[in-house]
Parts: sequence; structure tokens; C-alpha cells
Amino acid sequence: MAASYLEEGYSLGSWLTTSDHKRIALLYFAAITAFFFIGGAAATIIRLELATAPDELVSADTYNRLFTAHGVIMVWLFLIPSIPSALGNFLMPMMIGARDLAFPRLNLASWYLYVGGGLMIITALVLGGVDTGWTFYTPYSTLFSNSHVVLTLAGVFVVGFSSILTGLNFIVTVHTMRAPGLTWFRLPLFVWANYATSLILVLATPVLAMTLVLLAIERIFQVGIFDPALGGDPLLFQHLFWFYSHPAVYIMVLPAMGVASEIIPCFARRRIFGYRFMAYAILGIAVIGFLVWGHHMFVSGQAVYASLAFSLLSFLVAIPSAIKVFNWTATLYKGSITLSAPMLYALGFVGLFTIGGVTGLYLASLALDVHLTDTYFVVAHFHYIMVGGSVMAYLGGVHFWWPKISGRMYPEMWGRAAAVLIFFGFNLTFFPQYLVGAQGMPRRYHAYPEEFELLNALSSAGASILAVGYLLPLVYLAWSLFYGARAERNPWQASGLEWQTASPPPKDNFDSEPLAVREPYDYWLTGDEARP
Amino acid sequence: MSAARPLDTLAAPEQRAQAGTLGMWVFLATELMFFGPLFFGYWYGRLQFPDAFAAASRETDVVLGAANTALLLTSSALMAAAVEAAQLGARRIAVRLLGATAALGVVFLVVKGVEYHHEWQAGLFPGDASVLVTGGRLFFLLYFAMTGVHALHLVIGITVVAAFAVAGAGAKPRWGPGQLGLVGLYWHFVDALWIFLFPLLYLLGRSG
Amino acid sequence: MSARKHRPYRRALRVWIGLMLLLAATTGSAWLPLGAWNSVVNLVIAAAKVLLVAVFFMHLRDAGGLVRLVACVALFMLVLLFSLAASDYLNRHIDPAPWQPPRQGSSSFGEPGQLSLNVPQTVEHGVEVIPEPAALADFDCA
Repeated sequence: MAASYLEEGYSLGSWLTTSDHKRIALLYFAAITAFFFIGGAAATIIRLELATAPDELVSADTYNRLFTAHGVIMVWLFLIPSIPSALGNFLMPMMIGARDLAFPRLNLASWYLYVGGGLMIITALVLGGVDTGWTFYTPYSTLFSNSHVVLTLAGVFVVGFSSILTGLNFIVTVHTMRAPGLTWFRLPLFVWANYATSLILVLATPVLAMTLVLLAIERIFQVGIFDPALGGDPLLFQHLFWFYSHPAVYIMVLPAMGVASEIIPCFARRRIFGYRFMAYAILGIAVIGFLVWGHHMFVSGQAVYASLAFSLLSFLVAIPSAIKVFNWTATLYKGSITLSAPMLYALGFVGLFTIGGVTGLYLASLALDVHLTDTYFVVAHFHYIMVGGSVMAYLGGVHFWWPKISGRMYPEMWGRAAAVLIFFGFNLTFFPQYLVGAQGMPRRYHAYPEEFELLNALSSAGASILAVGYLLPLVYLAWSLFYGARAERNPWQASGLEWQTASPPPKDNFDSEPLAVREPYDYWLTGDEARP
Repeated sequence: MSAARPLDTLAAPEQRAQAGTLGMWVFLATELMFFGPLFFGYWYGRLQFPDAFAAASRETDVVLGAANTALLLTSSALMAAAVEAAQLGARRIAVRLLGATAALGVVFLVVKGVEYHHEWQAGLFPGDASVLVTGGRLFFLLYFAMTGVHALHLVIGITVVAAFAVAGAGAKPRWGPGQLGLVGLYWHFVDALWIFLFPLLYLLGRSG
Repeated sequence: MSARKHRPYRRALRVWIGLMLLLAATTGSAWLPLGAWNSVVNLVIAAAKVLLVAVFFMHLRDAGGLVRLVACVALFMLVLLFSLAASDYLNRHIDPAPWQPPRQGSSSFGEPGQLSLNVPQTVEHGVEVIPEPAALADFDCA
């Protein structure tokens, strides 16, 4: 029995110079967790300030720096890398029966770029931060802001290249390293999801990179590309920024959908409903997601015909997402459901993603958006998708694959308790924000009229529950590394090649045991045919 | 489905070559997307300031620009020949062709430097000392940005090609024709970018 | 790899000659007074040159469908960017806001001053003079 990948060297150097995709995944996991709590700290102060109507805690300027830090860190340092780089790096090669990714050392370079860019962003934060919002809109960011814009832009630029290289690695890996007999339509949907995410990563992120360069040039040299007084156009920036940033939200949600598609069949003991449609829907979301960016610019002065086109396309992108929601639901029908911790997270994901998605349709309607834009309705919408959706799925995936990654079982009751607490805390935090937003409370304001105070206080109370919910896994997962029960090879009786090897796996993923390449999600098999 | 031994799917040289080629083409796709916003800004400027753009384009040195284009196209041909030589096993010829390719790249950069120097002295650089306003200013911002980013990529290309030339000149073969082919792809991409930059920046408004 | 010509480097030489001829064509045609067609000719010739480089030098001729697809996809994405952004940039003259100054000339593609507010209309001593925004009372806010 080969030593596990965790036992191949215990020194720090063996971790920092590794080319093993599993170790690199854990390096990402550590950094992502650290950045999550830094971004969460900013959110904590924000919700403390917003708990009461007057500005009692921080000044307006500090508040601007707080929500900018929260956005920049959560989007680029947490959400975008979370599932692809922490879970995807670990699982993708195993799911296709490969020993590693196509370019293992490039994978390590990606991690160093990520950490380097992240440290640049944190340095900018420590030096006083940025107050432009994570969207860096001109002309404020180029002409008026007195904060560390260029350093932050540089950090995001570097992190962007980390994303691009990871996406490149995944694409080449899936195309060239699948095990013999593993055709595209036998792949787990997690692989499909990360593949589609990688397409977006490689095509959209470079546009952001150059846009940030132009922004820095404009800020430093004041040449006039985004300044109307010099003949430029602020919407030039917005078109380019959102051409990346809208597909970026699909980078954040597609992998989460992939995780849900792995967990739900397992804990309903049913194959996924409509596998091919699920795969096509993933590709459809990725493609149409590139065509809708103008819905962030409905009230910016964009031509009304453009707004019409983008509104229509935004409605279209809801269709493949809805197909996926229907199919997850149909997978549950007549299933033998176990409400394990991963399943609670996955079910929470489906419900909260649906609410977030539906409210996206409200925002895609031009007339409604005029009222709702830049209000807390938008804030609630994207938090339902990114937190209620992506973060729940991320945690679900972490719990689902924890036995495989660490070789230990986490304490199930604590897992379920945390999931329930997070679900409850999340809804208490963000549902009131839909209500205050529809009533007109603007976003990015540190003080607001008295009439919104009750709902804001509820939201802040929910945030305190959510914070406890997020801290719990940190504690019990760490505990499980030392005291948790040793995991067997396939504790969930799940399908997928990764469950056919030891928990934790050996360095080369699979021993010399032959692997069987089967239909995906073959939960209908029972008796001798079923996996042992 | 019967048992499979999937572990070494990248052990076979053909698969490694396939992965390398696919990886390089994906990388080139990201590079084209990276240039995209510059072309977008150029298109915006053309729509907004057609006369100013044409007038500014006439300020560029078309003789040096055309000469540079010829240089780069020739270097591409030499690079393609180098890859072919490597595939035929003619390593010494390949190394010489690589040296020539890198040399032409360096000459390109020198010529570009001369152009930049003239343009700086004429006050065309879009800084505080610029004589340009609005449309012309935007044109030259894009000119310097596009040719500058292109030149940066060319520097990287020259470095890699020169490194391959040096490594190939030794007694032991340090690279194979497949790897050289990947370098070639990158070089040709840099050339292809310039093929578009030349008419956009140098040939606008010449007939005006 | 696929069959090469018997004499090596032939293909590289032929492609080089083709590229040089196209370079002469594009440079020479720039001085012909073709109006808007100059740009079209230049772009077509540039596309032809890139095709030669891509197909022959970059071996797309011998490559499989996947590599060819990857070779085209970035261009396709940029076309999407330009097309959808065009729905904004080419239609800004429709339904302008009441505070925008009245348009001079027709609102056709390529007219200067159609795309953003406060475009400087005059230049005095090398400094733009931005026209005073018209007073709201001057407009019929229907």
C-alpha cells in the first residue's frame, strides 16, 4: 500500500516546491480560507455600521474602503479561485483517471501568482485601502480617488494571470488526459463545470487584465481614454470591465453547480436527471454569459437599443440555469434521501440559487432596473447567488470530499448543525436586504434613513449568526484532522473514479489496481454490481 | 467497461506533443484577448474622431513601419524554416536560422526605438508635453500602448528564441523539434499581431 | 507529420514571397484615394497575411479540428465584444437626454461628436473649449 500524498515529505519546502496537484490544492485551500476571513472581517464591520441608521462606527471614507476591500477580496481572492483551485485542482485529475494535470509546474506557478497578487492587494489594504468600489468606475478611480488604486490594480492583474494559467491547465488536461474509454459524456458534471469555467477563465480574464492596465495608465498619465472632457468615454471602461466581470460571476457559480451535481445524486441514491441537458446547460451558461454584460449598465447612459439587447439576452441566460434547477429537483424525486451535511449544503444551494436567479430576472427587466439599480436589492441578489449559492456549494464540496482529501471523517452532527445555522443566518442576513432595496435604500452608503433601520438590524443580527456558522467548520474540520475517525475508501458509497482509490490517495492518485470506467452516477446499480 | 490503466496518459510523446500544442494555442488565444481592449479603444477612437485619427496616423513614419513589417515577416519565414530544419534533423541549420530570427527581431526593436525617439521629440507622446489634443492624443496613446505591448512580447520572443539557439548549439540536444514548434507558434503570433497593427496605425489617412 | 515537399524550405520561401507582395499591396494601396474602402482593403490584405502565417507557418493546415477551433475562438469572442458594444456606440443618437446639446449634422455612422457628451467643438490655442451646456429651459422636455 503506497504512502498517501500527505506523507510524501513533511517539510515546508516539500509543500512549497511540490508539483503534486493535491498538495497545490491544499496550498490554495489554506490561502483561500485566510482571505475569506479577511474579507469576512470587512463585512463584519460593514454590518456593525449598518445595524443602526446614523453613521456611528466609521466615517464615510472608511466605509468606502471597507466595502471595496470586501468586494475585491471576496471576488478575486476567494470566490473565483475557491472551487476550481481548491477542489478542482484536487479532483479533476482523479475524476478523469489521470496522475496529475497536464502542466504540474505551471499549476504551482499559478498558486505563487495568486498568493503574490493577494499579498499586493492586502498590502494596499494595510496602507489604507481603496475607496472606489471593486468595480473601479471612472472618472472617480482615475481622477479623484486618493487611495492606493494602482497597487490594487496590479495585485488583481497578477491574480488574473493565476486564473488564466489554471484555466489553461484544466482545458488541456480534460482534452488530452482522460482515461481510455472515458468519453466526454461519461465525465462527472463537476468536470464539465470546471471545464466550462476554464473556458471563461482563459477568454475573459485577459480582457480584464488589459482594462486594468488602461485604467492605471489613465490614472497615472491622464491621457483621456476614459475622460469625456478629453474626448474619452467612461462607458468604454464599463464595457470592457463588465465584458470580463459578468462572465466572472459564471466563473463563480458554474463550479458550484458542478459540486451540487455530484452531491445530490449521491445522497438521493439516484442518477442525475437529464445528464446530457445538464452538460449542455453548463456550456450554454458559459456561452450566453458572455453576451449579457450590458445589464450592469442600463442606467449608465448606454444607448437604449443596447439595453434592450442585453435585457433580452439576460432573460435567455436564465433558461439553462433553470433547466439545471429542474433537473436537480427531478433527481430528488423518488430518491432515497439522506440529509447529510453535504446534502444540506447542496439543497440549500439549489433553493438559494433559485431565489437569487429569479431576482436576477427582476433586475434584467429594464423598467424595474431603473428603480432597483444601485439599491440593496442588487446587493441581496448577488449575495444570494454568490454566498447562498457558491459558498454553500463550496462548503458542501469541502465536506463531501473531506474524507478523500484528509483521510478523516468530520463530526457529522456538527456538520449538519453548521449547515443549518449558515442557512438560517444567511437568509436572515440577506432577505431583509431585498426588502430595503425595493423600498429604495441605496447600496454603498454608510448611513441611511431611519425607516430602514429595523430591517437592517435584522440583517446585521443574521450576519452574526452567519459568522458563527462559518467559524464552526474552521474549528471542527481542523479538529477532525487530529481526532476524526479514519475514513474508508468510499464512505459515501459515491460514484466517480476518485472514490475508487484510497482516502487519502497516494501521490500518483491510483495504485496499480485496475480502474473500471463506468457510466456516471450509476446509483441504480445494486447488489454485486454496486461499488463495494 | 473492462479494466484500464489510465495513469500515464501523458507518457506517450505524441500525447505530450498534442498537449503542448493545444496548450500553446490556448495561451495564444488568451494573448489575443489581452490585446482586445486596445483594439476596442482604437475602434472607439476611429468612430469618434475619424479626421483626427487620420491626421495623427499621417504623423507616423510609414517607411520605417513598412520596413519593420518586412523585417518581421522575414523573421517569421526564417522561424518556420528553423522548425522545418529541426524536424529534418538539420540541427546546425536550425540554430543558424534561429539566430537570424532573433537578430531580425532585435533590428525591429532598434528601428522601433528610432521611431519612438522621433515621435517623442515631435511632442507626440500623450503626456503633459504633448502638442496633441483629444483625437490625436487618443490615437497616440493607442499607438504607444499597442506597439509597446507588442514590443514587450517581441522581447520575450527574442529571449526565448536566442535561448533555444544557444541551447541547440551545444553538443547534447537540449530541445526537440516539437518544443521548437511551440516557440515558433509564439513567434508567428507576435508577427500576426504586427500584421494587423501596421495598417491600423500607419496606413490610415494616407490618401487624404 | 504530413508529407513535406521534396525540397525543404520551399513552402516557407513561397509564403514569404506572398507575404511581401501583400505588404507591397497594402502599403501601395494606402495612397490610392478610395475613401472608406482603403480601410477595407487594408484589413482584407492583413487578414490574408495572417491566414498565410497561420495556415502555413503555424501548421493549421495539418492541425486537427480542436486546434483550428481554438485558433478561431478568441477572434470570435472579440467579434462578440465589438458587436454588442456597437449596439451602444452606434445608437447613442437615439433618444438623447434633455440636457444634451442639440446635434449638428445628421446622426450617421462615423460622424464626429455623436458618441459622448461635451465633445470639444472648438480648439483655441491648442486648448479645447467645451461648449456651455444648454440651459434646460431651452429644451422641450416632453
